[in-house]
Amino acid sequence: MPALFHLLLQALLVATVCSWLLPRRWVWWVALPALLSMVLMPTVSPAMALRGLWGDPSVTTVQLLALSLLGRSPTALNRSWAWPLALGLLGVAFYTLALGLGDFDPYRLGYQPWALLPVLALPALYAWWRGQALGLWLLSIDLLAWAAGLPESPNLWDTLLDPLLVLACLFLAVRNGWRRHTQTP
Amino acid sequence: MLPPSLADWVARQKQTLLAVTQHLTSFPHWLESRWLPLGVFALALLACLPWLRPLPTPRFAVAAPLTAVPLHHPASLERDRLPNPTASAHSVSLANLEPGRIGAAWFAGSREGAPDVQIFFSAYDGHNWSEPQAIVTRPKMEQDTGRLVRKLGNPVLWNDGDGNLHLWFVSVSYGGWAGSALNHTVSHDGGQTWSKVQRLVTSPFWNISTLVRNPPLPLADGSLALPVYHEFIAKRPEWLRMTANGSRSQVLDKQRIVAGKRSLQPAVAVLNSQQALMLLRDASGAHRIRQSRSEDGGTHWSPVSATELPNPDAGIALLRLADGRLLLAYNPQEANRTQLALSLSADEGQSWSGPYLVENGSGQDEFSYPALLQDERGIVHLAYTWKREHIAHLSFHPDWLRQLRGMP
Repeated sequence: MPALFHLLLQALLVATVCSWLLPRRWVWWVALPALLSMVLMPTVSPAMALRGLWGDPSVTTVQLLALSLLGRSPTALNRSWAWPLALGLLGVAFYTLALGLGDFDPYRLGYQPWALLPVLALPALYAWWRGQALGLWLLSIDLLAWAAGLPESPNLWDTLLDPLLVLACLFLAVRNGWRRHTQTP
Repeated sequence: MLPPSLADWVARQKQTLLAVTQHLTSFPHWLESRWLPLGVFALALLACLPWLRPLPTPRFAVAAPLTAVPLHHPASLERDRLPNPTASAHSVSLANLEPGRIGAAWFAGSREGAPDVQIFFSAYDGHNWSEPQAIVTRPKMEQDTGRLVRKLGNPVLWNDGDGNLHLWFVSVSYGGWAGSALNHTVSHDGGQTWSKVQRLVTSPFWNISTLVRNPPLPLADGSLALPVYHEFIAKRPEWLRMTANGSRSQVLDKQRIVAGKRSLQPAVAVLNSQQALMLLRDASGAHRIRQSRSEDGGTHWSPVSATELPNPDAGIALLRLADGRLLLAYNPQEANRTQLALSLSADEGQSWSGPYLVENGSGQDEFSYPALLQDERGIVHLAYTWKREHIAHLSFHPDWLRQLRGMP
């Protein structure tokens, strides 16, 4: 995919973060910092600098950013502390192993992911059966994007998650847990 | 205060914007269908099927025998240096071009890691090196990959035999070398012009810490294996399986070498279609070159173990000569890089001859990061960093090695 498409993903990230700081009725003003992030200053744009720092967001992150921008953040992430905590801890374990803690590298499973798919599909299908379709939607769009070769990485893990998503999950777990704690009589 | 007509106009625009926002943020009703996500998921699984096929069992492609070297070639060591347009030069790599010519790539600038470092290329016609040409620069990298790049390093050249000269190298956007990412570019005209640089994603954590130093090995199915290493938190050797067709390269698999912690810069020699020997730079403090072996085309590697060969935490080069012997270039010391030597093995790396010193300096002298190549006429080339000032080049007939004491 051309670099412009990937730089637009960084602009989406900038726009979504700005939207969290603005009242809902001013949400369209986020287009301004998103556009500014694409401007070369003088040879490298802020979007290029961000892309150099953390690469492309995963397709899951892009979907969640888009939902957030549309004011449709999933309840499981916005209100619950258990789901973000579980996802965050799984992410921490994954990155620790992938960065060389031991001889087992879970990242390798993402290149020929026939073993990974059932592990991902079963919980998503179970949640769908219980009436929560979000996980299945996210996974399906991830897989379609990966099969179409949209992400820069051929490894399925990079389509599913990224360090920013894991950090965001841990932040949400703490925030939602704190809110619940302070609201309980 | 706004004039009444302008205030009305602003109010109308605000209403329109709110209506558009509400329209865009409300999903169509049919998206909430119970069975739709299941259908989309089934479609996604079908789309993934072509990418789920297991990779074919790898076998190494074994090089064809070389043509005989003309007898009039001097059986002695010839020395020269590569022209270097900058103050510092490091990390050379060699590859065959068309018959009678070889190419070299190295990185050079005011100092290692400086923003002005570029990757240079020069060709050797058997007598002279061509004027070095900057083939990768930071602005080109930033334009081609759409991201900030701070430094460049470790080029690796390789000719695939189909008229394509490949170059892999590392780039860093933030931090030190441990934050490197792998990149690939190709020349279809012997190094004159190069394709758009492609950044390869090989690590899940912001794609940091995959580095390359030694050339890849072709596999029998047309793909190739690239020995690489990881540096962030723990130094470890890794084994990438990839395709490099046309101008695009794609990673197919990545394997971590077992028990390889604190070893890096793997150099691999193919022994036959199934067996290979990997030698590694040692960063453990034991000061011994480490090794691993594969008996199944690189599918599995033995746990990394130490050899008797000394190593001062410095890069090495390994080459299987056309006659089957293995040639190693290394610093035969435990503490510094003031000596550079060659050793030979006639038993597939089980034992090595004593070192033959090609450089013997003192003090702060550095002779390091060797690269080895046997050209299509059989002449052996050794290139290496000479005191960080330029790249030195030695060439010799393989028979010259027989004159050395202790060489098998």
